[in-house]
Amino acid sequence: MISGLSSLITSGNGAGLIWIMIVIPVILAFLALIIPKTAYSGRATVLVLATVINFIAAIAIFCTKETTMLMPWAGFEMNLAFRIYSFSGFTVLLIAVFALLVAIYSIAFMRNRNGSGQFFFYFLLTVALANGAVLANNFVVMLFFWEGLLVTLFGFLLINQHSKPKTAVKALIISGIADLLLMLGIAFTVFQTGSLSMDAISGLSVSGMGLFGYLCLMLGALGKAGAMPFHSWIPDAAQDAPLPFMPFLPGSLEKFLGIYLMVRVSYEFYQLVPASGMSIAVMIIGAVTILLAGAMALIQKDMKRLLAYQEISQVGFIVLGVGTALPVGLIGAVFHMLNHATYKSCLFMTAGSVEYRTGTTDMSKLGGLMKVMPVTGICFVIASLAICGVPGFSGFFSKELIFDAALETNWIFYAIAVFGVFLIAASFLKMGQAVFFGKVKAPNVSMLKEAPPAMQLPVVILAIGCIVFGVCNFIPLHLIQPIFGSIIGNHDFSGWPHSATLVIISCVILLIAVLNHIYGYKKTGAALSAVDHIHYAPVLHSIYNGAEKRYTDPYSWLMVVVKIYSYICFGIDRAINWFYDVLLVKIVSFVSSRLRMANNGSPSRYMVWSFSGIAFIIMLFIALM
Amino acid sequence: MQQFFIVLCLVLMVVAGGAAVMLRSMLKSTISLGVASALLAAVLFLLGAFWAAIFELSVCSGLITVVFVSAVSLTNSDRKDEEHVKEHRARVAALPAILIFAGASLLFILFSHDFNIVISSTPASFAAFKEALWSLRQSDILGQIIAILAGTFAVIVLFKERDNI
Amino acid sequence: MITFATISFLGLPLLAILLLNVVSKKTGGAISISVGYVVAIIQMIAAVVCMALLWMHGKDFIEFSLFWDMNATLGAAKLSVDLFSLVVLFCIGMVSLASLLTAKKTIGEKTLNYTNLLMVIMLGMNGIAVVTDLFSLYVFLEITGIASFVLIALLNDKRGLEGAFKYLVMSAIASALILGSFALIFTQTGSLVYGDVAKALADWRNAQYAPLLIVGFVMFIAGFSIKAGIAPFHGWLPDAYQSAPASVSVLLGGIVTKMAGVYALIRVLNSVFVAMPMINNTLLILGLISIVFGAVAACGQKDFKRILAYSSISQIGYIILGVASGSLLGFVGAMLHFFNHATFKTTLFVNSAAVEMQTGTTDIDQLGGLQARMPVTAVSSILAFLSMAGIPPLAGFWSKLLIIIAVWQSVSAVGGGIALAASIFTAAYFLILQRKVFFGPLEDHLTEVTEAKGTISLAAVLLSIVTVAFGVLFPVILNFLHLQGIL
Repeated sequence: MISGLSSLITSGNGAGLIWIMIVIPVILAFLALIIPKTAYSGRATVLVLATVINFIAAIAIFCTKETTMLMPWAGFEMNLAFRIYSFSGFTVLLIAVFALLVAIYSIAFMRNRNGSGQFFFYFLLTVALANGAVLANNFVVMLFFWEGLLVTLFGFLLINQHSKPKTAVKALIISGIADLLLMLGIAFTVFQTGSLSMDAISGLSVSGMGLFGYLCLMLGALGKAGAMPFHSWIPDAAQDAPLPFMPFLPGSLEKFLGIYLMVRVSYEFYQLVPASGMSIAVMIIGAVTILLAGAMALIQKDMKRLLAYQEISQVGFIVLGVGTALPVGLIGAVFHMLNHATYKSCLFMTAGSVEYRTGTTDMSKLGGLMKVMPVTGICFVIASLAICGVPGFSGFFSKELIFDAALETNWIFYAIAVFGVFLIAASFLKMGQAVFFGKVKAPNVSMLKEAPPAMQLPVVILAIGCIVFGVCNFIPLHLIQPIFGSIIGNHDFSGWPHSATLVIISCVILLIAVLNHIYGYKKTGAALSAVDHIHYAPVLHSIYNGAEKRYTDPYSWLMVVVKIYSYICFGIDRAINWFYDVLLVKIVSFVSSRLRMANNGSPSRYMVWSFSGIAFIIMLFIALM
Repeated sequence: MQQFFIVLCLVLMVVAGGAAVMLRSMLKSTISLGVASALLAAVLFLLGAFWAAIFELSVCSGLITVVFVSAVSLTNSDRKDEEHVKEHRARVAALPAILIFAGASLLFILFSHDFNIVISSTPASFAAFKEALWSLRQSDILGQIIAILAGTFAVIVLFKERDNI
Repeated sequence: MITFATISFLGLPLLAILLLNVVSKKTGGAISISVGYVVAIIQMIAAVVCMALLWMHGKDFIEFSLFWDMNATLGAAKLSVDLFSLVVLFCIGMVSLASLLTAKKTIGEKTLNYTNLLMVIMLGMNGIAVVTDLFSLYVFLEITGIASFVLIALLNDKRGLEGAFKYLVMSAIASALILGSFALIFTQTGSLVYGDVAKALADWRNAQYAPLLIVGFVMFIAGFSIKAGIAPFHGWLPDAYQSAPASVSVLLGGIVTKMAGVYALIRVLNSVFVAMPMINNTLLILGLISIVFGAVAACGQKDFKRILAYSSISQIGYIILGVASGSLLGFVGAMLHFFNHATFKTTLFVNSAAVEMQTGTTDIDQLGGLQARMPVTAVSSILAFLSMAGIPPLAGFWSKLLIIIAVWQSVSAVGGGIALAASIFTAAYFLILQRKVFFGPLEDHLTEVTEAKGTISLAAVLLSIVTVAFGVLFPVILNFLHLQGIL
């Protein structure tokens, strides 16, 4: 297999590579499912093998020249069409890298846990589907893979939760609505161009039907990326799903897919004009996401929920960047997507390591873990610095690019984004101090030790990534910039941000966050309650209360509407039911029983029927002549 | 010569027909009927009515026979008791007498009178017979073979069991 | 290759009969089923090979003969296979295989007789598929008929004999009508070969005795309607299906009535009565009556096999409807529905055989909750029924869709609408059957029931795979039709 793969790579046969990326994970997924629980190492080997093959193939695809592949399929232009080009190759490579890292992490994490077979099965299936969705060059094919991801998402959330599938159903409904919008968007778009082939569509204007097409496609992509208002299942999933699910799907893969599509829709299929109405609308979505998710992150008492809200807030930054429709915003967004996946996966994995050793992620039960889990702690700190945008770390550089773009559009967006940084920094200071510093506190202090090596490895790699992507930011940027060569021209965004003012403002904001934290800490004497003065501030308190009761969750409102609707339908249904269940059944069974009696087994009667049939045919003939 | 064949066939036909009536065993009786039909087909052929001959052969000697076999087996319980056996013997004894009588009378008709059968313009020969039977309706001959096979199996299935009851 | 493949359709069963009856009875009985497997499987392979050859050479049909010279000047009988006949030849092989697999467990000591008759009936059906003239068609129809009477009465019990008798009586009427119709056509056209008759009939309205021809047409439709079991000529069909031994029901329901009635009708319609809207319209109306009647009547039945028999009446209506629409799309739809119906109906009869063997009854009131005890049977019957009710993406959905589209386009929206609405009844009797037999609580006296082991389950599984695979791969066929400009 390896030799075949290498020959494929050297020959640069893109079509073969595409099949490897889609078919092999599927086959191995079933293999992982079949292997019994007792042979856990077998399952783990299959998982790692599949992700390694996928990784090698992804590198090969990344190095391949632009290739398109077309196989006739269902007619009506629904062809199995795939296209490798710079952006899809890059995205596939990102997927492969994070899939590999999370795979390594999860084989250690899932050991001795129930549902590992299912987890690995869905994991590999997800990799295959994500590859397919990214590489597809036909809207129908893309939808097929995209919808497939909905199924695996549902499956992930059902693992060990069969008795209470609430979160899974919630995720399914929310993502389903987003996918429905995506379908609508595709329909509008295809209607305009008359082609299902994705590379045949470019530069449509965002007006008239294009407006609807763009909006629906964007909402579909936003739903995948998990921005407001499609976010509310993620914090619930953080609590319910096996932990490696978080860095895998919401942490990295779904971001890649959502933002991949968002960028393609905004810059390729449609021509989003900077500062146009639609551009502002997208930016508002981004800004609101930053603000609300950041504010919610601030008050969480559970590591996983807090990280989940922060993650949503980070998506806001990316959406903001894409929405500016400016080259600098685009590069900032894609760079931020990469950085976000790096540090957020790292953070989720450290939370996972904590859970693995202590059995809880409730911050009130934890403390001082830096002493017993130094590697995990240091990596957590590095990733936190990156996410807060401390100068020098990766998040700083991508955020500065987005700030640049936001300021160019309108200063309000810039102000909100900067405020978002404050919220994130405050929440991290709170979490970091509460969990890793101070006195050692955990439900099982005596048994605490560092996480197993297989779990440390990806964490450390990602933490290093956070530093390298910051210090040597030309490495990722020089990969990203050529992809959008036609949009940004020869502009190079690597190196130190060009506007010193913005950097200074960012530093001031971070400083304010630290001061705020110290103020809160001094006031209450506990790191965990360091932001209580914000939480319990006069007006904010009632808002937060409402949010905690899920009044701000669009899903719960949706459910209220659904309930009312279902009451109305129930009444109608009763009437229809009576028609079908009682009336129709009575009629049919009456007629049928008559017919049964008529067929009494006497050949003479059958003959009479036949002859009357002949008479009938003769009459028909006469009539038809 | 041809006339001789015709008469011979007629004689044999009468024999077969007689056997069909006389034989107690329904199976043998039906087969005799089939043979009679086949001979009639031959006569028709010799007289130049090719199509009639073929239809006779296909339908009567093949299919009708088989349908008879099936129908008879479905309706008649083929019971053998003493009385029947005796009667049967008597019939069998009568058979040669009838046959001899029939044969003699036919031969008498043929040779004593100036009996001339009008034969159609097409000369009938063995080659023509072969041609009509074979070349004209090849696929039906195949069908014929299969139909006879079907009949045979029908007899095996339906009659053998009857004997055992 | 091509010679071997084509000759095997008629030569192989003959050879098998020879083989089985040359050896001693004991050996014959022992090897008969296996020989049957071989014949059926080779027939399926040969059909596929011929299809491939047709496609490779880009021909519409292959003409061949068995052991005579088909180019002789005088009355050379040509046999011919085209795509449609190859599809049905494949179906014959498939259903025969399923019947053999069922028979292995259910037929008892009668294996030799059963296999002999199966070979004869296969010969008959293959003959119907390949002949090119009306009289030969009639001969092979009769062979098929005879073999099926005997097969129904194979166990020599009262029920079987009664069913066979009814079939015999109705079939005799049908034969008389068909033969009469052919005779009338012959008197007016002077030929029996499909192509020649079609040419002679092109201008039939101006023929000397046009009324006689009309009588011939009526007799033709009525005769084949009896053979096919189209309502109101269907009387014998449920009785015959119900009273036949399990493996014979599989054969009858799966293929025999469809070959003797539907295929022969379609073949004559397409090759002889070309472009006669009168006949098409009559068949259209009969098809619709059949669809609705069969579906409604099936809802009220109390016996597993009888439900299936009535559903056959309904499904055959769909096939007839597709052909009667007169368009190429309708014909393709009918052909595919023929194949699908052979698949899912055979599955269901195999399932009924499994239920009968394991529980001793097919009365649905005495059954219940068998899903837990017989999972393979339950699942395959659900798949088959879903396919029959036309649930995507199973095979039955596509063929029904094509038929309904064809009727909608080329005849009337009303016809298409009725056909569509009747699908609801299909779902209704499916639910009745599933609920009474497989779902719900397990009846007390059925707790000891186990899954039908071995070949019966194998047959059900294989056929289910065909149903699902054909449905999933159907877009390929759609694409092909699209490229050909049919759809």
